[in-house]
Amino acid sequence: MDEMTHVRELRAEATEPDRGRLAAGRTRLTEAALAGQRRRALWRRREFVIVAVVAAVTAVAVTVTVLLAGTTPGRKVEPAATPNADLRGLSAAQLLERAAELVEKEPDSAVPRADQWIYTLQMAEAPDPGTVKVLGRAAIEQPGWIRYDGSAMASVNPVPKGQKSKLSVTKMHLENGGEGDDRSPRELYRVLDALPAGAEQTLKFLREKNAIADGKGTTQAESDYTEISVLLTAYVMPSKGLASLYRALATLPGGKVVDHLVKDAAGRRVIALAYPRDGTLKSGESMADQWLIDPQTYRIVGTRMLVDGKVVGGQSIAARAVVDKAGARG
Amino acid sequence: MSGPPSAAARGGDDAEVVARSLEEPELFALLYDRYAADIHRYAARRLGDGAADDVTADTFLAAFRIRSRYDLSRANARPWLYGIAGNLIGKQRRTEVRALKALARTGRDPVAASWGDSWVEDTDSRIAAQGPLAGALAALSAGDRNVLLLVAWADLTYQEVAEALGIPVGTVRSRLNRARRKVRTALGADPAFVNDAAEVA
Repeated sequence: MDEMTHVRELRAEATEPDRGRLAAGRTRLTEAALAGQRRRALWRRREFVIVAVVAAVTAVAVTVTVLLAGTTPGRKVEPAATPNADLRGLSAAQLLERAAELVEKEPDSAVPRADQWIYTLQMAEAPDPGTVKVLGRAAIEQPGWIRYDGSAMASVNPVPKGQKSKLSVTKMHLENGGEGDDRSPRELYRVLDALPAGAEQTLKFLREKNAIADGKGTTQAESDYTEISVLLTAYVMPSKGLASLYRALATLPGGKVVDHLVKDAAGRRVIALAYPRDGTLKSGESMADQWLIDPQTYRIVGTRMLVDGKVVGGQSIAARAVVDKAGARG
Repeated sequence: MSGPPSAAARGGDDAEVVARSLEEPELFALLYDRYAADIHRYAARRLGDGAADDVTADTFLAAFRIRSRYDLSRANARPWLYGIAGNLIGKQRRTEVRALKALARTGRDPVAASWGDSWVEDTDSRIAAQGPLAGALAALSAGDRNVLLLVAWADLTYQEVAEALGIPVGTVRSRLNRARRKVRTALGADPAFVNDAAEVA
C-alpha cells in the first residue's frame, strides 16, 4: 500500500451532511445575493464587464512588451513580405497536411540521454495583471527543466521584484504511471515514435493504446482530440510522429485557421489554429484552444485559451534546449 | 464535463452560472446546491464537524464576493471552491495540527470523534498505521498539506490544484512530492527514497 492510499484512507468515514445541515449556509448566501441584487443597478450590463476584461488584457500585453524589450531570449521572426495572403481561405486540414509534409522530411535531432534535461522557457499569455505587478517579469517568463526520464523537474521559484530567485529541483517518478496521468518526456517520445503513418492508422493506434489520457470527451472526436492534444505538447518530438499527429488532427472536426499571423507572448508572429472546446457557454461566449504554429518550421510553439475570441491564458515557448544539468539554458 | 448530469438543464455549466450571477446574483445559489455537500465533508474531514458549517458557508460567501474575478474559461467551479475552502481551513492551522498530533500520540482522533454516530472507532491495526501518518501530516507545512489533501481527499488533479490555489503546476508537483516523501518516510518505507530526499534538500 503506498503512502497516498494511507492518506486517502485516513478519516475516509466522513460523511456528507444532509440538506438540513446545509440550509443555514444557503440562507446566508442567498441573503448576500439579494443584497447584491439591490445594488444591481450599479452593475450595468454584463457587456461592460467584458469590455473591462478586454481592456485589462490589452494593458497587460503592453506591459509584456515593455518588460521584455531588448531582453527577449527568443529569436525574432520577421514577418514575411505578404504574411497573411497564404492563410486566407486555408482550411485546418490543408494547413495540417502542409505542416505534416514539411516536418516529416526533417531529420530528427538526437534523442536525449536519460540523464539529460529539457529546458523550456515559457512566456505566459494574458498573465494576471495583479501577479505581474508583484512579480514583474517572473510572472511572465517561466523557465523550467524536466529530466528526460521524468525523474526530476526544476523551476525557478518566482520571487517578488528585486529579490534573487533560486533554482528548485524536485525528484519525480513520472514513468510507469508513478505520478498519475502525467508522463515523462521519454514516454511521450516513445508513443510518438511508435505512431504509424497515416491519419486513420494513427487514430486507431491512439484509441487502442489509450496511451496518454483517458478520453474525457463524450464523443469519439473529443476523446481523440484530448489524446492528440497531450502528445502535441511533448517535449521532444520525432518528425514522423509529429506528422502523423498532424494528419490525425486534420480528420477531426472544428479546426479553423486564423486568417492572419498572430503575435504570441514571445513576440513572434505565428499561425493560430483554433479548436472549439466542448462546453461552450450558453450565454453565447465560446471557448477555444489555439495552437500556435511557427510559420517557418510548422512546429507548435505555444498554446492559448480563448473566450469569445479573447486570449485569457496560455503559454508560448520562447526557447527549448536539451542540456546536461538543471539550470543550464543551452 | 463533471458535476451532476442535470447541471446543464438547471442553468448551464459553472462558468455560465458565475457569469449570469453577475447580473442575477441569486443564481449563485446553484453552485451551493452543486458543491456545498462536498465542501462540507472536506472541511469536516480536516477540522471536525463543528467547524464544517462555518467553513462551508464562508467559502460560498467569499466565492460570491469575488465571482467577478472567476476565470470563465473554467467550466467546473469545484477546484476554485476547494481552493477558497482550503485557504479558510488553513487559517485554522493550529486546530488542525493539534488534532493530528493528538491522533498521533493517543491513537484517538478528535476530528473523527466529532462526527458522532456516523463514525465507528477504528480497530487497533488501523490506528497503528494512522499514528505515524497523522504525525507526518501535522509536521507538513500548511501549503504542502493543503496540496496533498486536495489531491488525496478532494480528488483534484494537479492542474485543478494549480487552478484552485493560483500556483503553477510545477509548484503543485514539487509540494506534493515533498509531502509524499515526508509521509512515506514517516511510514517507514523505501530507504532509497529517503536518500533522494537528502539530495534534494
